[in-house]
Amino acid sequence: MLFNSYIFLLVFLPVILALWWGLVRWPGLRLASLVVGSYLFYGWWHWEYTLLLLVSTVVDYWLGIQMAKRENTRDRGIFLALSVICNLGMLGYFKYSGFLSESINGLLDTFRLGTPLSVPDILLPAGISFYTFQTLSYSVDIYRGEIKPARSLMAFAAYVSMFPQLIAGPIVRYSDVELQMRNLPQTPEWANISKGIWLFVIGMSQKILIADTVSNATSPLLSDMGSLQFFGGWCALLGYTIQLYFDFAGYSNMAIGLGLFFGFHFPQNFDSPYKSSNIQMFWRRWHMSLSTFLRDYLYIPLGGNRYGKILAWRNLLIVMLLGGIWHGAGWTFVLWGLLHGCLLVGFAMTPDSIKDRIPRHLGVCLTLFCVMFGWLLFRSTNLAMAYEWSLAIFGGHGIESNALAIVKSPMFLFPSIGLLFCWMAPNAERAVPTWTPAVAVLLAVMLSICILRFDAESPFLYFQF
Amino acid sequence: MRLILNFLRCMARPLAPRTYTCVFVATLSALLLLVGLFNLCVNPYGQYGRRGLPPIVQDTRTQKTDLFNDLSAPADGLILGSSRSMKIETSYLNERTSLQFFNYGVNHGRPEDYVAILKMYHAQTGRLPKAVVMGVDIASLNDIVPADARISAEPRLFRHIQRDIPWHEEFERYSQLLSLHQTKASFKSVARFVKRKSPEYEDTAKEEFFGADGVIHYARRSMEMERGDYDFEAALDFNQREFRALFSNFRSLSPTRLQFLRDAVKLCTENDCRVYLFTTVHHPRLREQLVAKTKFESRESEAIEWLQKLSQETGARFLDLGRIEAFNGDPSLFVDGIHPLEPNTRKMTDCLFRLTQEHVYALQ
Repeated sequence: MLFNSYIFLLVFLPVILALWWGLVRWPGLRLASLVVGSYLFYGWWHWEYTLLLLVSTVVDYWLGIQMAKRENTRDRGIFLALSVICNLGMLGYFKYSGFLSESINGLLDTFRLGTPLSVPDILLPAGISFYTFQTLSYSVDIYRGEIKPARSLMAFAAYVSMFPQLIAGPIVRYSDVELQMRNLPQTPEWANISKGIWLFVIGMSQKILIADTVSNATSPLLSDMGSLQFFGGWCALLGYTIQLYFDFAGYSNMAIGLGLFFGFHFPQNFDSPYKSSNIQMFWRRWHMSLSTFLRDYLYIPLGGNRYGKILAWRNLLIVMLLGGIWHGAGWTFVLWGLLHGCLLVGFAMTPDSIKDRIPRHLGVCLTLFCVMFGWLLFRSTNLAMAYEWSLAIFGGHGIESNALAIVKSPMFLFPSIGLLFCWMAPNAERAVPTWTPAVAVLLAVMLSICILRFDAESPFLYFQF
Repeated sequence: MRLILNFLRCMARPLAPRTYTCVFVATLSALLLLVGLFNLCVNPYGQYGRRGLPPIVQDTRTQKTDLFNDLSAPADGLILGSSRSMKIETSYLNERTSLQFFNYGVNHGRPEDYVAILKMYHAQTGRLPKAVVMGVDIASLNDIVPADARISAEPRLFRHIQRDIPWHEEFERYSQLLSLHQTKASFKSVARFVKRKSPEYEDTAKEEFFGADGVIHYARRSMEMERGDYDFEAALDFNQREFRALFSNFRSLSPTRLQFLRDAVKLCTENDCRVYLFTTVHHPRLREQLVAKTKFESRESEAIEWLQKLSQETGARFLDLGRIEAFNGDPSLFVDGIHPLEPNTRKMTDCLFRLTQEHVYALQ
């Protein structure tokens, strides 16, 4: 089910909210209604994949209890290893087996080593990358003794499947919601609900009014890479840069807003990343829940920066490479991860005296350029497309004769306005307005306009990850 | 002035979060209700029962049902399908089979339409026609697009399938009251209603019409073709965008629609009615685009395999006419990417009715 669908907004959400706040006297039933609702939400397209969610939940809940029972680190380690194998095995099978077979076939074909492997045609379960990371973080945190196991299977199932953040994050750790799960709010907190409305409407507008509009104007440019030239290439790239940000940040704002409707506080996921003046700052502001996850569960266990600069740089490269692969099974994602790894290492290697001399605005532009080039790889469906697109933006396919017409067209104007928004507008989390009737009416009008546009079904970009 | 100032002051006054939430919910509900009621009253696509303003699309189900009822005697044969089958000439079929055919092709015709039409025929005459020609669009066998809402606005057809339409399709129909395209259409409908008094409206409105036998006549497009200023490329481009969007989300054949199609064919074959099934044609350039950029080929081969099985199971005759090579068609004789002109539909008919004399006698 999509947040931007009639069935979600007109039926599912009112019903599930009514159940949640109507069953306050029965906490078990409350959680059960949230779990059933979330499974319905998840299984709307392919109910079969709810079984995966169920298996992941039950296995990690049981492993968590077993770990908590044991004092010995080695014994706990066995159960942690089981959790890692189960979660990453599932992710590996559904997300990477096709990519792996294709890559092996490529090698077999190049060196004429034998018959190719059959490539499995597996439909990627939506949100698998997100919920496997959540369950994995739960197991690791119990192993480290940072959290206690969930009070009941229902409470854990509610944490894993909670529909606002199930499909595309933010990646919520159990430690973030542990206390909230134990002390469920008994009465609606209207201040939180008001803020939730604000974030939800802003998120919906970011998705429908900005991301989709920009996408409609620029994505047709990518339908024929052969004819893509200099200005077209840049318009498409800027368009995707804006679309991806508003699509994903919009989803995150909606998720956080929906969480507030139920009395849950989810971590912030975006903090105006395109205002970053360097690549390190960018990663502290973009998909923050993933960045902190990778830092805490990968970078620090690898040694972080505790063993000298060289090892710290190596760790950065490994983390970003794996971060790239987490996003998608393809060589373009591998390159994207490596690019960001190299950028971060390059930034770490640059002496502070040079960093300090770069004017802030120049830093913002340079960072955006590097990030945009990364998005080119991220958006490309294969290396050939990335190559053609790169050629186009560096003038390899020539320059359009009607440059002025392009600059005046929506394919340039819409993304440019979007970029100005990114640079000038405050972050939605911080720019919470005073609750006046004017704001309420304005938000209602904005949401009505968005609802009118639900007829053009448009899934979120991060659903594919 | 004072009133305005007071109003503005009132709008800028901070509210308690609870009151603020109530104002938001009430305003949102009022706005949605307003839009929904406006669209319900104008009813631009004729989806919600009777309507007072001029339609912005053809109510082909209503028009064809009226034409069918106007026939002096029920036709011996029916042509079922979408707009892509509307150019199959009944006169040509009459020559080939000596049966009187009626073209019951309807816009966005899908298997549920075939069932409804056949059941209505049966309810009216107590029997089924002797022969039915069914043009199956691969695109119609999806779950993405709900039953065309116009069938639910035609009670003579809808009552025969109402209970078989899944609830979510009914929900989809009513949720469309809050859609931008329907709101735009409502405004267009109101604008047309206002303009209707001007004499030139009547001329431009008659862009397409149906003969008494249900066959479509493209009045405006024929004129443009004769003059040589018909923009085929624009029409093809429109189809390319529409079909690419449709096929890029079309992941598997719809079990509901396949069941409707099976029901339609079985209803015929079990009542001594011969069925001639064929897959409708795509212009080679549209087809090329779909094959390159969507999963069209997979859906097409699945559909053909399923139709072949259905044919073996029920005795219906099936031919895959999706490619112009299948009937030696001419790519220059298309209105756009999906609608063939008469010379092509005649060739399709020839292939479909390449019958032995025994078949013809059996039909008669």
